[in-house]
Amino acid sequence: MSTNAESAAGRVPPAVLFDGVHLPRPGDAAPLEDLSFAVAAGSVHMIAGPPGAGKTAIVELILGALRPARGRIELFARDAAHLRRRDWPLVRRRIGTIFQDLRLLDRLSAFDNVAMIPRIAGRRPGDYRDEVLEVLAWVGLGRSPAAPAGALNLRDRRRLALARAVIGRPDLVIADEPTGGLDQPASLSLLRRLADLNRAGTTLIVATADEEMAEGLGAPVLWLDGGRERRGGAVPRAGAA
Amino acid sequence: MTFEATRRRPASLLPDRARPGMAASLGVGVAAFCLAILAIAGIAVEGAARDLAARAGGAATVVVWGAGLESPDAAAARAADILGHARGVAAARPLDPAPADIPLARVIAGARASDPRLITLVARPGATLDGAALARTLRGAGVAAAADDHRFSTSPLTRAAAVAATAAAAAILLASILAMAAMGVGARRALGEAREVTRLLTLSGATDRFVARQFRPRLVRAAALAAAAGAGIAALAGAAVLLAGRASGAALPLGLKPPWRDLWAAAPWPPLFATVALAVGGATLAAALKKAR
Repeated sequence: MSTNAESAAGRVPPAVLFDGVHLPRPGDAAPLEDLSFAVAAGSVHMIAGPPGAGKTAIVELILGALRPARGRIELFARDAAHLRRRDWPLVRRRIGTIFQDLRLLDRLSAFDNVAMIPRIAGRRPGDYRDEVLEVLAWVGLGRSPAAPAGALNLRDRRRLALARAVIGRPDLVIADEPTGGLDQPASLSLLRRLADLNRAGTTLIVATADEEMAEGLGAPVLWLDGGRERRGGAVPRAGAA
Repeated sequence: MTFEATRRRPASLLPDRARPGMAASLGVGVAAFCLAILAIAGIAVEGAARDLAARAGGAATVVVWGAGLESPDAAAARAADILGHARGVAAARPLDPAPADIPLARVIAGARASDPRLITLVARPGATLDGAALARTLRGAGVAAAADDHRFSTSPLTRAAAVAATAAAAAILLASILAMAAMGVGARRALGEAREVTRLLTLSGATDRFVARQFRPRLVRAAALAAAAGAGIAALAGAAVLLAGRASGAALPLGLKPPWRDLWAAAPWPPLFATVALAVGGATLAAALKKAR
């Protein structure tokens, strides 16, 4: 995995920037406190920590599903707090997300699950059919485009979620626990595809509870524990990018 | 079986359960039934009143009596001749004197007509006779006369028909509000059943308009089907009432044909309700999605 040198040098604004972000969370979950980090465009960043540490909350903050109580979030050099209601769809279309719970439409075919993204973007079926089939082939589902998502095994469901995340050629892909429940060969296969994406210039944020994987990728890691940054240094602080 | 991507229509992104539901369909169906039956009844009453008024206005009775040296029979003959050429009159015929003429003449002409003669007038097709104008024509020719164009007896009928039509319009308005409320409830229910999918769509970059568009076919279909059922039952009920009226002979002695065409008043409601569902459902969804953010 590589880091975009131009971005790191500060000439390109970070894809994502958190600056002193505070987010209260419901129930017993500890609030996210004073989180500051920057994800340079074209880079790979890991968010690691045990379950409940706040990884998914960060993903939801980036997607605009949650709003911070304090602090500033920038997405593609735009202050999220100042994004108007009609701006959010366009920002979100620049982000491809593999959700922790995948959120596949089980009743629909693999093809239709992936086609959902170009449909949202307003593209006509004739324009995206070949592209969807290509992406399904790229993730290894080229032979089962008609299979209902609910009938696929976990490995193929994760592949399908990856296909859906990348079909829109997003600038940023967020993968929340992308290898959860997969054996090592399947995990490696999926990570290899994520690496391919990054080589093509896509920024990657990978959230994982697997500390070994977080450290093993050699990318900057934001370590979270109980909503706080546990130890850092590898991740550029806000303003450093 | 091979996968034919080029032949496939995009599938609905919503789960099957994301539909308006039975309560909304029932509300729309009942509203459509009420609207259709009121429309049929309103149009039938108004049409019958207009028909009766037209028939009554198509005839008139003129009372003449002798004045000066002219005998009542001579006055009647002259009046029939004059009226036979009057505007809108197809035929004017003096009637043979009868004992019952006296009280009838007194109702029309008052006590002036001591030895009255009656003349019946039939209007040309489509023409309405004006009693006052006819009487003026005769008086101008020196014939003592009074005329009854039946307006006195038909005006309460037309007033009653107007009241019935207004009441039907008010009831139609209320039923429309019921239908709109039912569609609002249905749209909210459908949205509630698809909450996870709408959240996924939103986080994937869908606009509120795109999300709302996913629900539209289901709302329109449910409203149109429920309205078709309600309006169909209303049309059947209207047909049954018409047949019953025909069988009992209520319409035939009056010379009224059963107004089968009035049953068409049930036809506009299904497409109208589909349109209402589109508008109300769209507005409800837009408001709910905005609130959900």
